[in-house]
Amino acid sequence: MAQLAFYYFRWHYSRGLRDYMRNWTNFIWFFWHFFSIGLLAKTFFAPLNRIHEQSERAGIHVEEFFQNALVNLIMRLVGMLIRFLFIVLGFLSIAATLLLGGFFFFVWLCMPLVLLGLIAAGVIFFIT
Amino acid sequence: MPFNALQKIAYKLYKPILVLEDVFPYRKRKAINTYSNLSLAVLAVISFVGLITGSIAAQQVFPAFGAVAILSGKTYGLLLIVFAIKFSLVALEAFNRSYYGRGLNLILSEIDSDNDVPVSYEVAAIMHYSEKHDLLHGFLTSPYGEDIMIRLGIMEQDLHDFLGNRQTHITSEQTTIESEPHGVTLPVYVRSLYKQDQEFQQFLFKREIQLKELEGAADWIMRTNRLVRNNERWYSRDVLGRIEGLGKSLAYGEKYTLERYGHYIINDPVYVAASERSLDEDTDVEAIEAELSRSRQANVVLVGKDANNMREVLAQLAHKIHEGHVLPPIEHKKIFLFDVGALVAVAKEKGAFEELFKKALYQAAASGNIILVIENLAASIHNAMTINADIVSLMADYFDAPELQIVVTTSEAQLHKDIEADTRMKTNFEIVRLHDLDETGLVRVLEQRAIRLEQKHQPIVTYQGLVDIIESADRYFTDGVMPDKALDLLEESMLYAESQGVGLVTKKAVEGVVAMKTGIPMGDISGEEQQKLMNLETELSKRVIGQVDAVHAIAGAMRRARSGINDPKRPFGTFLFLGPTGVGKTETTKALAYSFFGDENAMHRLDMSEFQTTDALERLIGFSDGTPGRLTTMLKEKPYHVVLLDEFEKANQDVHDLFLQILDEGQFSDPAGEEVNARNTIIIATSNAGADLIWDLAQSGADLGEHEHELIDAIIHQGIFRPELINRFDGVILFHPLIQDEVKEIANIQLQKLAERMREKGIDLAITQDLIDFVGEEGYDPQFGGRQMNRAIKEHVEQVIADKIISGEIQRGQTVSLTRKDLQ
Repeated sequence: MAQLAFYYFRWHYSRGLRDYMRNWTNFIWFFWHFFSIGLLAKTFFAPLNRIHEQSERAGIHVEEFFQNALVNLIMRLVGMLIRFLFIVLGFLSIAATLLLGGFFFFVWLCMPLVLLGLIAAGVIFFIT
Repeated sequence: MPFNALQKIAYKLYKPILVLEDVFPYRKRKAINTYSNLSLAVLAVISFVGLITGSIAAQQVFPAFGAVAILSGKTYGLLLIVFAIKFSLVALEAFNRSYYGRGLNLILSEIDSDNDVPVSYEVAAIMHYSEKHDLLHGFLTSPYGEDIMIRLGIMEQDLHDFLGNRQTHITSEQTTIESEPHGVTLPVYVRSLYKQDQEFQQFLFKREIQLKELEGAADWIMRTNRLVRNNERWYSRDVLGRIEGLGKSLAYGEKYTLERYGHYIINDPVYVAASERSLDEDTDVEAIEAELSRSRQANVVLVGKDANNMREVLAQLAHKIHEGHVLPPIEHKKIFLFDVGALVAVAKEKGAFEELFKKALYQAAASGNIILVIENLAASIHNAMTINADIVSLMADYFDAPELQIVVTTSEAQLHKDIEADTRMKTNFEIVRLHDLDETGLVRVLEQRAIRLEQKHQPIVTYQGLVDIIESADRYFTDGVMPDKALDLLEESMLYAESQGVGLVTKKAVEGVVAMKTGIPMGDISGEEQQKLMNLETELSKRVIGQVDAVHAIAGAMRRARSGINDPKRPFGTFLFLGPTGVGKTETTKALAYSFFGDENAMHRLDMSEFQTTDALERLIGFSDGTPGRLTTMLKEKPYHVVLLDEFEKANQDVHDLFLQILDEGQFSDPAGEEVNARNTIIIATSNAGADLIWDLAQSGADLGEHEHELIDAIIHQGIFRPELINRFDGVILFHPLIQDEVKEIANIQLQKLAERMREKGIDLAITQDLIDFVGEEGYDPQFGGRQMNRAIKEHVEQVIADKIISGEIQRGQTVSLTRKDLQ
């Protein structure tokens, strides 16, 4: 038992911490990909669903040109807005992962104390 | 490396969790974890109820609730204590997995992960629990050892008896463990023990297990175990990466028209099967991936034998993309199966078709994430041609466009016709030919399927059964492609074993299914069949009269084929029957079909005198316009038959060359490039070449066997057969002319058959010596041997009886006895 305790605590503050950091980065990696942040940033200025109006008639038609330009501008703006929302959502998730991860990292560091605290509080609650 | 040295390394890597396992075994931890989860749930509910009732009591709404609130107050205390236990268990499991997950070969690399370890966890665990004076016992009683033995079909009792009755034990002092670049894994450890323990080798050998099977089973157990361990790590990138992301569609365009004429491969039934396959060694998928990742002209022609197989490979690529394990240029791409036929059906005429097709292509390109697949290009081109539309020209604008990638599938024959002849396609498409999986790849595919089937069916598949399934599927089932036919055979073997009440799918179960489906006798030879094979000469001699040498040679060949020692890449047997007409060559063939395939009609007969013209070869193997050949059709429809080539010498040179290949390789290619299998046949070529010489030799009373070489030389000299063709046959069998007594014996057999038929009509025919002599004399011709026998019986015996029946001379229930006078 003593041997196990030794191995455990040695791990908890060495490999265990490394594992923790690795898994933490895994979740950040996951949210980055889940919200397609990289892809959406790359295509940020593209029109929504790549809808693009263009004249099919030969020659220059001023009215049609401006009409199409307006539609295309709106499509781009809508596309940017929606992508922006997704990117923000993604960054919020990453921020939450960083915060929660940081909190649990602290809990992990203090785990022996946390456990003792929980048990002590439990016993006090039970008695009183 | 000495055992003890390896153990030191193993302890450096895994000692902490081996100690954990000793002190607090996994089973116990799991049980406590379950209880603590339950307790947490119950206590949480009680605490919640306490909170509510407490507040109600405090508000003086229902003061009696105060007591409940006080009682549940204690649950808060318990809740915190159980929570502390649960937290400790989680930490312990993290501790365990931290070591346990070493060397798992992650696909997506993670920061600071250790993929390569000098010794695997399984080996470390076995070593830890092995007694130093008996390593084999330690291995065989470990969970991994037990699993390996089950996969080899070895029963628990059998193993127990072996362990109890051994004379020698291998110890840690004397044992060395082999080392490999990938470290000491389970198969390596097992191999080392096997090589150093003679008794263990003997034990396995008696059960037809050799090192190859032992290592294969160990490899299977190791990979299954690793898969489970990998999936347990839900927080790894490999597992998290499988969750489909949001927002990807926002980056790409809409494709209304395109989506009306086809579907995404991830919605195809084949996708489910493909996603269950292991991808680690699939070079075909990688080849397609590499071509599609090029910056320009990234189009692919996929060449394969089977359309389903090609679709499955594409589905595997889609799965790989989905999991995010692909090269960056094709990340987020979607594979779309475009149905040209459907578009033709809707558009009906050229103008509408072209407009819709262009629109679909434009959308696919504008969307930017489409890999467009046109399956069976030849059929699609042909389909569009029916309304005079040329799809290749319509697509050509996109061949060089980076926004759209096109994959077309085709067969090898069509490749030359449609693609290589078209310069636009030739320059813009790269050819990827699908490879047949090798045996290791096939075993892995089957292993994964076996594990899934075992969840549905009772029997467990043994490793040997699996290997036998692959070999049998390849050898006996000529239709279909690998691995599909092997997977089908696996499922059928599973059901067969289940129906027979057998717990294991062994070689025997597989052979049972193959024998049932093909009619080819297989499996262990025993009982009645053994007797039949031993006395085959006697059995054959009852039908084939006077040809002792021929009968002997045929019986020997049959025993060789049945024992399974013949070359699996050639037909079961190939013989050239030489001799005059009417001496029993055809009868021998029938007897052979009956003895081997259980039916004398299991015979394809080809009169080779019909194959003398210039188009003879095409008429046999098929024409380039797709008209099938006779031999091809015969072999495809009924592959388990005797092929009788009558008057073989009369066929032309091209046909002889074809058979030169068939006799040698057991297969040939039809004009479409498809292989036709003739390995499940017995090929008999008959010829009366050299009949004159045989006749002369027989007249002079010489032993034909002694003059065989002389005879064959004469045939070669006359230019009838080339020496290489004669040498390809397993045996050249000489049939000598029949003598009078043998003819009478044949007459007797034929008359017995007639009597049998008459008995069914209620008339008894007495077969007298007089009758036999008469038929023997009438039916014999020195030139045509016994060929006239049937005619003699018809003209002289049947006719007389028929006349007598009609005239009322013979009535039902009577016995007819014919005299020489009646017959003349």
